Amino acid sequence: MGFLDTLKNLFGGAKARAEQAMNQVGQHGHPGHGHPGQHPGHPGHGHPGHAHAYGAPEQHQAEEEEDSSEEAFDLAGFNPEDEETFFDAMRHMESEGMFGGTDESRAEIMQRFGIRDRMHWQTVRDSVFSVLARKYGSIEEVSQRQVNWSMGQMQRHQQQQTQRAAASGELNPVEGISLEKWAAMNAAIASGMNHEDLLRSNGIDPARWERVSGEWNARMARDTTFAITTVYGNAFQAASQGKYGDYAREANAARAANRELSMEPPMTIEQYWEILYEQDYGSKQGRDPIEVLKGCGLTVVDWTDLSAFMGYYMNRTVQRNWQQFNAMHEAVKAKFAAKYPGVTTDVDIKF
Amino acid sequence: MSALARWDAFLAQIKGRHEQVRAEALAAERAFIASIAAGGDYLPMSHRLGAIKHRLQELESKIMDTWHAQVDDAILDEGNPVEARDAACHKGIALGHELEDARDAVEITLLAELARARYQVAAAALPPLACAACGAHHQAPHTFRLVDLACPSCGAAVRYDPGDLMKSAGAIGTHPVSHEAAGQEAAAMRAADRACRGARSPCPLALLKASEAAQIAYWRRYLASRAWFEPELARDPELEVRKRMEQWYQFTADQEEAWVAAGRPRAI
Repeated sequence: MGFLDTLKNLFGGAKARAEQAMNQVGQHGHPGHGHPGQHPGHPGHGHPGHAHAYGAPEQHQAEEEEDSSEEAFDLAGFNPEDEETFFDAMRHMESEGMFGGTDESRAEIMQRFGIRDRMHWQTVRDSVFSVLARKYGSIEEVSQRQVNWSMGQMQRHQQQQTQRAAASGELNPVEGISLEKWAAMNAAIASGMNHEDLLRSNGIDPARWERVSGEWNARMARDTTFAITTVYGNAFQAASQGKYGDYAREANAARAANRELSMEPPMTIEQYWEILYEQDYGSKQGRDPIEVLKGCGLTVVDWTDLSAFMGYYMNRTVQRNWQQFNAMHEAVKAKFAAKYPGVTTDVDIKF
Repeated sequence: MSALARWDAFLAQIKGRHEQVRAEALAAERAFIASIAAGGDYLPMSHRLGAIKHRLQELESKIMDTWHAQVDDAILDEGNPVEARDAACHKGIALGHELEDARDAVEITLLAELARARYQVAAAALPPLACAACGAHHQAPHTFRLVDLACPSCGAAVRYDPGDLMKSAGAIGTHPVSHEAAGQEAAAMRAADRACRGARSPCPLALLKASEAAQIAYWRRYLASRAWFEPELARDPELEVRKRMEQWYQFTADQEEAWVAAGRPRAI
């Protein structure tokens, strides 16, 4: 089982984020070059005619001498100084679905930038990537910038969904209780506050609380754009009193602004993966997830907050540091396989 | 033994083990359900089911992992035609789908059974609706929640609490009982979705429309059942279905050329 597959099998709220981050390595890593970071024959295959414009000519010359294949170099109509336009074109040219392109958008891009066909696009794409790699120092850095740009696009989309939800009335208070207040009260309950005391101190009787909770839960269930869930999650973490509450708030603020984190992680990626693996093995053994977290010195609130921060941290660094991450992950995987022998079953069934 | 025969034997082993694990889980958990029908913590069952689910999923993923790692090449290396290879591959894919459906059914079945067991116990001991104002007693209303009602005799406000066991029956059973009630529709919906995925993008309009119809049929049936637990869902059933379809329309259908070219022909 590979690095990405293993992460796909990890469970919990952070699993999805870890998975997303790792998937982005595969999806947004320089396309057509296999495993992230492995970019065989890519950077430095410049065409001499263009090298003077965007790259160091000596470097191009030296690399061309090393590689007799002399791949074509062609930036077509792209200006590598305008990387956002290039990333946007790449999104349309190479992805389908909600955040991808359509035949129409691809045709428009091909016309606008003078792309003849798919083969030509691949040459252009590789050429722009190579120029950007020189500018930023590595392909990994360019891939990271591309992921960051994509995350910004998705964040903008999510913010629009929230605005639509607000306009449709789905974020209106229920019996005087706003989504933010409901989330904050749930955060207090999750932190261990007595339910009845909480309702009493907020002047809410139990029947009203049940109706309000029922309505907010129903709105969340039918909100397929995740707008309500996003607002709830942010409000829940804004009210968090947990030891990682500040980290979660910083992650949410950074995500909203599509910026780098201003706080150092409270633990290493390796330690974070160890917690994920404890949960994964705990789940395989049918153990209580809350007890598993307790064994790691965490409450559910701590874990929610921590994974919000670490998930974003991984998103912002995984492309750049994938080799170190991969090595760390393999070490953690081996450590846990040794710690929990015999958890893997059905090994007797073979082809 | 030929590669094709070994593949068949391998699939039979996977299927047999999957059935065995499911049967053992059902037997053990039914005994547990009997012990907590009148109350008690059911979370240990959820945790055990999580472990069972992991194991079943690993058995399922073993099919195509093994196919890619060993079987594909082994069949072709023996000089079998590509058609025989493809047929063998489809056999594995079909078994994977069958086992996935069976796996999903385990948790749904057990949670629905637990909810029904609790409902029966709770319903037998429901307190009547007692009005403090006029002293009248009325038949207990159907509810899984604390509700404020008007006394049928004097109209005064009466709060009714169906009790923890009834509330628990609702909390546990709302989804599984509703999903189970729409079991046939769910199977048809999964089959239609797989047909779309099998066609890959661009998906033909006919498959998209079939998937849309299957999903709408599922949601109608599911929500009709769920309204027994959550009466507000019956206020505007079509709105509820439409809201649940929105994600598919936005994230899948609207991304398909044939759908867009046909003018985004939403059925609801």
